[in-house]
Amino acid sequence: MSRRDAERDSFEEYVAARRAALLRTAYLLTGHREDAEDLVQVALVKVVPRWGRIADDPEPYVRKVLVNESISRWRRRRWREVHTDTLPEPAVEGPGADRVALQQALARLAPRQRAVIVLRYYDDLTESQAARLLGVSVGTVKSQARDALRRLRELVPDLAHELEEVRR
Amino acid sequence: MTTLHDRLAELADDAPPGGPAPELWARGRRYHRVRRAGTLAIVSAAVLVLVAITGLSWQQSGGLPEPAAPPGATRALPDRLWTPSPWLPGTDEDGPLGDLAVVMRSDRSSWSGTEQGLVGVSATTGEYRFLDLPDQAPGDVALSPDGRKVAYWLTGTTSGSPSDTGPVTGVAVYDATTGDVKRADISTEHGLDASALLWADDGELVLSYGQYRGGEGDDPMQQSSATPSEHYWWRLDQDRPQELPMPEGTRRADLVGASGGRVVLTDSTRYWCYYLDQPGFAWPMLGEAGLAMSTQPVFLTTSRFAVVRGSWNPNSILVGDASLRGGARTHTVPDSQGTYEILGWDGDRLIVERGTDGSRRAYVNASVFRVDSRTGRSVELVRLASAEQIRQVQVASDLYDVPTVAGKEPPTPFDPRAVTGGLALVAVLGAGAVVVWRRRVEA
Repeated sequence: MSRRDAERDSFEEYVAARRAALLRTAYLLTGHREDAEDLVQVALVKVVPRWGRIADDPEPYVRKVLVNESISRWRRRRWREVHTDTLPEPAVEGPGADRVALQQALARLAPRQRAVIVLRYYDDLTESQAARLLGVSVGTVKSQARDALRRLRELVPDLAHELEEVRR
Repeated sequence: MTTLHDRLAELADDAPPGGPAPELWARGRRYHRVRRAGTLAIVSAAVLVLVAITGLSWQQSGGLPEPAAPPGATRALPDRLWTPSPWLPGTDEDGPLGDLAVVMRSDRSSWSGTEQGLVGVSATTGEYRFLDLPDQAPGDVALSPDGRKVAYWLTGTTSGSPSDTGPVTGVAVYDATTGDVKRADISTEHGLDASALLWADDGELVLSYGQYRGGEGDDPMQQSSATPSEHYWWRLDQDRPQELPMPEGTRRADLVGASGGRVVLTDSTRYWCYYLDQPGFAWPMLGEAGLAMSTQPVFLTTSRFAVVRGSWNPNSILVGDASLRGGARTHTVPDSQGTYEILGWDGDRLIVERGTDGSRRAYVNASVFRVDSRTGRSVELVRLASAEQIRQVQVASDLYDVPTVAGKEPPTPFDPRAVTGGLALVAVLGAGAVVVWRRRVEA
């Protein structure tokens, strides 16, 4: 088996094992199922050229590409989409309403703030891991997280309790 | 208790399950190839443009300097001159030019600005190059008759405060063949008031200067006035100029011409011929009644003189017998009214700068002509680039009687600031294009 074939097998094994987890993170980053699928595919395609160097521990680099691609896409789309300051009322009442509210609140965050929230509180990365992945300082991660949590508290008052827990 | 992590995990449950994702590896390889090919194309294009700019710039600069002509190479005047590019190289970069046919003042540019420089034109190759004369002070330069040496005033340190920036503190001779400089520093408190610098022969220089009476901080009158000029003779086989002993009546006379080991002196009403090998004696040449004297330089042979009439140019040429005392026999050279300047004698013929149409109209095209002093018939020797070169050109007088050769147009190098800016711009644009391409290429 050639080195290239070995790398391909390793890549495909990684995709099979981690694609679902990456899709969950991507969904939180984008808020859309189709975008999440596309984001993960693009991130995986983009890491192929480097696979030989990252095959031993691909996760940090894949996530870095995923997050940066997400931010880049948001920047590109910002010029094409019409923004509104008022969100439509949640269409869902009852048990699912909190989930929709959180999803819509995440969509109102700046992409880097959203990434900080997802990396810190969903992927459970440390501040320094998140900073390294985003290519910013730890201080920036702290301030982005603080601002993002405050904004979430304003947008989803029902989440205040959970968010207070986070602050502590 | 529910946490934010739980809430996010719950939300992430809505993520797509992730169906089959075929050919991700193949897409990744293709993405890699396209990205690399695009990068290579951009870098290649940028490199091509950089090479093109550099090559064009090199070509415009004339490429490598021509090798020095071998000893005994044919020397001649070019039949025409061009306005040199201010970005021509200098002798500091490309080395000595060898025997010179012409020197001319011309603008010289550098990264910091433009100032006046001195361009030499090779008598053997026709090449143009700025002459880098070490410690050159502003003021006259003089090309020797054989074109091998250029005399110039030196600037340096004065023992007291200088009268001006760049004070004259000596005289030097640059050897155009070897690049060597023979210096004669002259002790001065405030600087020299240099008034004449002329070649009396190939190895003999005559010069005049006074001493400024004051420097910075002194009375302005003192600072701007100088002692009367004294005349000096510098045979280059000696270390320094010797003062010329002047006979009574000529001490205040100005030095206005030199050739063949003789100098011409004038007090603006009379002229004298001073033979350098007979120090202390001056022959009266032209009597008080002989001429409406000119302020223009006088050129003489052993028996004749020539001068542009009057005090304004262009004008006609007056020639006469230089040996007479009083009441000189003179005549005006026919059809010579468009003459700006006399450069010298070539036997019985005069070498002059004159408008090409022979009229008195200023700022017409001008050339160096050989003019028969009796008939006024003229032959064009060297066509000047423009009337702006009038009085800016000196010619090696030994070459007057040598047939001219076709002039060679000097290169016109690009402004290196524009070239460097262009190179930097291409490099930045290329780097930017690579970054944009690598970001935008579809995965």
